[in-house]
Amino acid sequence: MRRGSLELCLLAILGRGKRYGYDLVQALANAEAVVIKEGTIYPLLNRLKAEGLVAAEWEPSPQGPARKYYTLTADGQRKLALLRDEWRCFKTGVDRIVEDDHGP
Amino acid sequence: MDPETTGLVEDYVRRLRRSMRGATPDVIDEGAREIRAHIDDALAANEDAGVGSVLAVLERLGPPEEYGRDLALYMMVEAGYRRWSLRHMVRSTLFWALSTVVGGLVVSLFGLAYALALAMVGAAAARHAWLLGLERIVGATDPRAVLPRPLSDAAPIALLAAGAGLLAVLTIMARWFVGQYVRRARPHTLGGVEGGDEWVERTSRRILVIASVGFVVAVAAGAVGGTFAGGAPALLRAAPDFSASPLARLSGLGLAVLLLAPVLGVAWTVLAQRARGGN
Repeated sequence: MRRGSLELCLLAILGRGKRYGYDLVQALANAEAVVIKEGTIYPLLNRLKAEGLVAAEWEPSPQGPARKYYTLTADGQRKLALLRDEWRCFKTGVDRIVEDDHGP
Repeated sequence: MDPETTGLVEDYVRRLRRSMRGATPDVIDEGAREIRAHIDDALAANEDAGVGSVLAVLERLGPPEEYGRDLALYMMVEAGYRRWSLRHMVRSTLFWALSTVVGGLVVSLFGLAYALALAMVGAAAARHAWLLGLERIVGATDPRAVLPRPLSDAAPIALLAAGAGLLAVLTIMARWFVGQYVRRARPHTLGGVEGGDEWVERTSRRILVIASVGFVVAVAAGAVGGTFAGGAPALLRAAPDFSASPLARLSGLGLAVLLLAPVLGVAWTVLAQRARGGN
């Protein structure tokens, strides 16, 4: 998988609103191309937090123990826009090669 | 959950806490709390807390040994370098040093440079104390007599200013270095997914190359120029004769390159990236 694509996926999901760890994993699981061991998402979330791209806060849960919710910061939104552009560019380039039956 | 399934979860969390060993207790507690919340949410979604269900949840999470260390490192880096917690800053740096070869090398080199800066401050303080007649503290001998030449020649106030300045510069460099490194680093467990830690690997190689060149130059020029004898540590024996000959100066330059290898390595990668138009 392209380098940084998991980071892009996480930022894109968080761009739609705050999420907690398991919720993020479920959203990723819906995209079948993204296959990871669920535990590895937590170091990545904390790296994004260390970079200032996401913020996290514990909130009480309606069922069971409290959950740690992640939200996108202003820096995270800028990074998401940048990664989205890079991804579109990459995707367009690959599509052009893969789907061009008449090419050399 | 029955005792058997509770035991499975407890055992998993215990392994996670063990894999985070070396981190601060608050970081270990928070990491364990978050993973436990994940397990609870997954079991609640299944509406089945039987042994099979618990095992499936833990299987999907993966072995805690695969991600616990990265989790601890990033949590400590976030607390230390974003929220300026000195305790976390020091612990995360040591944690990193004990986890990787490059981390160990970088921290050792910064440690040497810090020792040099502290020696300068100490030498200045000792000389000041001696000049003020505080012989009971520093002894009857003028500290100049026992200090190596560059330190003994310098005025105490200049030495104090240089030592304090060096400490400040080193702290800024260390913070910048770790910030750059960690910002680019990918958890090693994600390497297979994301295509590898190119930035980190490339920078690590550059640091090792620069440190090796600095070491070879320091030792070779020092040995040929007679700055230090045999296998004596360059740092201790090269200093008194820094200005004795061009070869001694070259040896000193090699030593400086060795000490600055981490910063030069990162700067090299950042500049190369900018030259290529990367971010």
